Amino acid sequence: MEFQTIYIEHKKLVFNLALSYVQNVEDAEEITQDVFVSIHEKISSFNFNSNISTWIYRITINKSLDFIKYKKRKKRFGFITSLFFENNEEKNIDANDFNHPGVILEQQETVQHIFNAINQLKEEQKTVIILSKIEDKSHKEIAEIMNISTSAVESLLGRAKIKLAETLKQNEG
Amino acid sequence: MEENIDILKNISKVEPSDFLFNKIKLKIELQKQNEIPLPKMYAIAASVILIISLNIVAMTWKNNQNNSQNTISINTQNNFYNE
Repeated sequence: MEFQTIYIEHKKLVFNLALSYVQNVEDAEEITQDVFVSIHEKISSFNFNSNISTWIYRITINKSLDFIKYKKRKKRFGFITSLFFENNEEKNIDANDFNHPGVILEQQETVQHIFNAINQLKEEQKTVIILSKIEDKSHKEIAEIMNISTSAVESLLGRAKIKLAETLKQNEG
Repeated sequence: MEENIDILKNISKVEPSDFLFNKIKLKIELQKQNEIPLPKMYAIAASVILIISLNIVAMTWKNNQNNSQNTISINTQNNFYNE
């Protein structure tokens, strides 16, 4: 399969999944670039008998989680340097980072509120919620993507919902 | 809570920017340029090792030569005038 064909067929999947993780167009574009560079690198070793979408889902999830970790590190470093230097230009960059063009204006505030709670979940719980609630994947499909059992998906989803309810309640109060 | 999260199902899918593919192609090209091919890397490593070994050999040889020049010859002749 040609690289360009893979890109055309999967660009929307990759971009929207990344957008669910970072809720910001620029960051999602950066992740999309990294995902396709990685696909280009590894495509020769990919076994085309297995599902290419599952493979692309995995790469996108890993790249998104790596990106979030990298951004957190950068933020922490920025905070430390701001303690020593007067120039605080970067301080408020993340204050209004939410930029999701797929969310309608009337629901923007509620969705942002839910995403704030999702962002506080553990990596696996966050992935399960995104795949189940945004990507509308079945438990079996999620299990295949995450390489875990269906019962593990169910228990992760259960725990994620409890944690999410707690965080939403805390944020409201 | 469940109906709260279900609002996420209303999020519509977004088409990424048209320029994205060109950016990806550029990134791939840049990566290719920055990549050092494996045989070239082996050649560089081998030449570095060779230069270091030649240096060691040269220094040892030079040291040996210096040592041979500095050997003290013992004068066995009596330099005092016989009274």
